[in-house]
Amino acid sequence: MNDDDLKAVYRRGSHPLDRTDCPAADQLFAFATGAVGAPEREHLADHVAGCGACAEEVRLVRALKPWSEDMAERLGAAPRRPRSLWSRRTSFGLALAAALSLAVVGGQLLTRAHRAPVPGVPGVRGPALEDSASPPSDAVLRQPPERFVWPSQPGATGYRLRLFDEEASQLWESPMVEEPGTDLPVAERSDLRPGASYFWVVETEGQVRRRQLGPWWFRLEGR
Amino acid sequence: MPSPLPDSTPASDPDSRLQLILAEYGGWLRRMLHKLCPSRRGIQVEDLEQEVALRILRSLRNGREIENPTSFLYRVAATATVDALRRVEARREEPLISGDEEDGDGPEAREPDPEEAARTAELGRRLREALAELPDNRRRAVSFHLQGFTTQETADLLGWTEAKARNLTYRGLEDLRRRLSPKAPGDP
Repeated sequence: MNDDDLKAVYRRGSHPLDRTDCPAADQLFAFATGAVGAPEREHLADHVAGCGACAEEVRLVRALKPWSEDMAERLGAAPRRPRSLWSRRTSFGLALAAALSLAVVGGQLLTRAHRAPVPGVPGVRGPALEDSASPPSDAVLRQPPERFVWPSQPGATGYRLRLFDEEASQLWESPMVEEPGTDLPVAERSDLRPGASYFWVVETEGQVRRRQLGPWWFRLEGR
Repeated sequence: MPSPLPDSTPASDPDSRLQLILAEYGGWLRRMLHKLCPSRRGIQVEDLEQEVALRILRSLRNGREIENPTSFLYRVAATATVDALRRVEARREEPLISGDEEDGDGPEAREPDPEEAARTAELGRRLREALAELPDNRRRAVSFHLQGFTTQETADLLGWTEAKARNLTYRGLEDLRRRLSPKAPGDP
């Protein structure tokens, strides 16, 4: 029996249907990255050696390392919030969380076909429009905004605004509006705290180039 | 040590940047599943993307102090991917396709021959019995080889040198083949 035959025979049936005996993802991660002591390493090795599903996952985890490094580097190069708002260490997480939330809440992850292309990167949408928004990005306001206005999008049949706090928790969602602007209800205005930062995005409906506008940030002056 | 991230950078929209990265994640995952996870080739990557993105988001929102963003992202992305893969897999009603079948014209192209299946099952049983008789480290080295790990990967995972992994794999495979080979008449 040659090597390929041996592998095929060994792997056939080594993918368990019931994964309850498999190590948890964080244990597998520790094993894949060499972050376990000798006794546990041998125990996990014996499992992975006989479990095709875990063996595949270990390979996947190891392959993710260069991707993660690349991702962190590129996200670290993203524009920062003002230093007075956040520490350097937290800003990475919050900026990424905020940006991620936009991708998730907008449902854009699964609808790349609607985005306009980035030159040289097929299937990925282009940069945001930063101008013509009110309040403009990075505005420092004495009072919570009464109204949000954003750039009109040719072909848009409707817009929906979402307002988030700095930790990317959604605070308010507007009804679908036809015009590129909406008022912030009094109740929501009163919930905004002096000294805190917020950001907002707009999702568009219709045959438009951009499915999501923003994020635009503003901060309320402290007491 | 604090992260080596730069303070400022060329103007660019973080949303677009992130969309790009997440879009690339989908492409990366699709390639890796095909390359590294033959039994998961039938899984829809789209089912994983959003789960992984949400998990990363939740972790980032909970983790206020990130000392090392690269390690943090690696751990979160890796564990989220494994968890999502398992969840998606568990939700599947139909059985997964084996890599060998997928390599051909698709699962429907080849119905398993009952005789061949029985022969393969018997071979598998003998192979596992023979493996179990090997000394621990030889058994681990050979099993990792049969699971598709290179000797360098085996060495990394088991805390060995590559030379040790190569030696144990080579000797272990020899031993295994000897145990599997039909005994000649008159052999003890």
